[in-house]
Amino acid sequence: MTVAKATKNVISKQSSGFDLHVYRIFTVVLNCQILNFAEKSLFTTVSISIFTGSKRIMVQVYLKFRDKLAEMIGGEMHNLCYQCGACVGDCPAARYSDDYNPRLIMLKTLLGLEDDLICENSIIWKCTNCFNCYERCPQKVKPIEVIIALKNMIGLRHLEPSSVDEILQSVRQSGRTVLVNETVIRRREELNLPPLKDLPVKELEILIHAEEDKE
Amino acid sequence: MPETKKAAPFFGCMIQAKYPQFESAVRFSFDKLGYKLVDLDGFTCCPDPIYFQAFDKLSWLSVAARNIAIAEEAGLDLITACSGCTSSLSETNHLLKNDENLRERVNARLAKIGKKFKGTIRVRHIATVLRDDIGYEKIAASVIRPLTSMNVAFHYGCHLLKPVEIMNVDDPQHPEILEQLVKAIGANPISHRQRILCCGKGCLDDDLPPKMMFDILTSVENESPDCLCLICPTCFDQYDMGQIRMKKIFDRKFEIPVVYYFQLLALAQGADSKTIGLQWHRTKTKEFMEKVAALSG
Repeated sequence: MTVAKATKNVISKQSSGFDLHVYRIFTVVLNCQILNFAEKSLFTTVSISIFTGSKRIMVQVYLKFRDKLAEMIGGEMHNLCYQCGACVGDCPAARYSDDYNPRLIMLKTLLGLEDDLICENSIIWKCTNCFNCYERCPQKVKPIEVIIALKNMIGLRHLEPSSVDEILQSVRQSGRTVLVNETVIRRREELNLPPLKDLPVKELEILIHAEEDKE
Repeated sequence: MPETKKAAPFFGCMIQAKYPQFESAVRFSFDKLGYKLVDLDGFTCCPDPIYFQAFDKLSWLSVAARNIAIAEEAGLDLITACSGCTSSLSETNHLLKNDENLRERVNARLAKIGKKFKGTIRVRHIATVLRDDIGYEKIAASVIRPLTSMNVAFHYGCHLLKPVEIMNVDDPQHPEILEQLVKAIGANPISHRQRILCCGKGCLDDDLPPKMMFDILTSVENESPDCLCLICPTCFDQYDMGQIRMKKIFDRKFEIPVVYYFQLLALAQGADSKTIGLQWHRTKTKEFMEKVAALSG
């Protein structure tokens, strides 16, 4: 079994609720090993071996991705996740879907599984943005903020869903998310409200298009 | 004589360009409460806390900081009438006040348009202004037509309450601000089982949000209220239109009139039905409209 395959195997077993006890030991060991890896900046990946029951499995951790994530606003906190699962219980997306699990998303960041997270139709878009995980996390990881950082990484690769682009284009073109139509103009008149003015979209363009401080 | 309280209103795209009746109701109510709303020029979208932020957080912070900077120049606090705008503007205000590095990065962008974030004002959700600056008693005193005949269910919405360290509005598990606001206008506040469940608006998925909406609407319907009261236009959008979607998706008809809190407040303060614009809502019931007519007639 290849290293990558072994990693995926562990993940898929855990995601189907395979053995939560082993899963927790696995991740704690994983994080301890990585955090204690003094010269980790010399490596882009590390391989560690763990025992799950009677089996010894090699797991590869992609540090380069973790470093990139840590440079994003809110992304650095993923390092502190110890996989306790407090984020899951109150997560509406986890409650209402079969495959969304914020702890698993955090585990994938710990392993640096870029391809699983930064891709088209990434699972992370199912996050409801409710902030329950932000409230629950004992490590103050703010999983929602890590997820937003991951979404930003998707944006850098232009793989975001079309609805994100639509909102963005609307703001860039008109300064608003909602386009002004005849009905609302008429209703505002009926209500004696001031007419809606054109907004300074040129200023917005400068603020949004400041590419130089992106990576 | 005490100085009249004043602040700059930030209505946001949803209210200004989709539900202007909410703006009209807010202006009516604040006038009755003796609180001056000073309109400032140049605000843009807050910007959108879900999709825009998902695209690029630094751009999101910069656009929000530009809006805050306009209020700073006028020396006025911002009052947000939408929980989504509150989320964007409060989080930006909080992050930039506390994170020097981020503030510098954002100010480098703002400098290109001659603006600067200084961190000198507060961003406040309109519900907290009612509670903390005006007070439930003063609201009750402004009521000339108490809505005693109405059973008003309420739903909070996530971004009014969370994250607590930034919003600082109420306990997110056991909030009571909306219940108190409903009481202040003489109506009977109706809680419901899923009152703090997320509506799913921020979730980019076809299946999840309708299921969540279904559970919330069922939970509200179980209490048989006259209407469902919200404090955010995005929540309103989700529930008013959402009931029509429920019919299409689950073939289940819900008929719960949905209102923005200030429509009820303005009604209780003597506004005519035109000012609060209930005729433009998608989900109306005969009983509810009759109760409103009886009050305003």
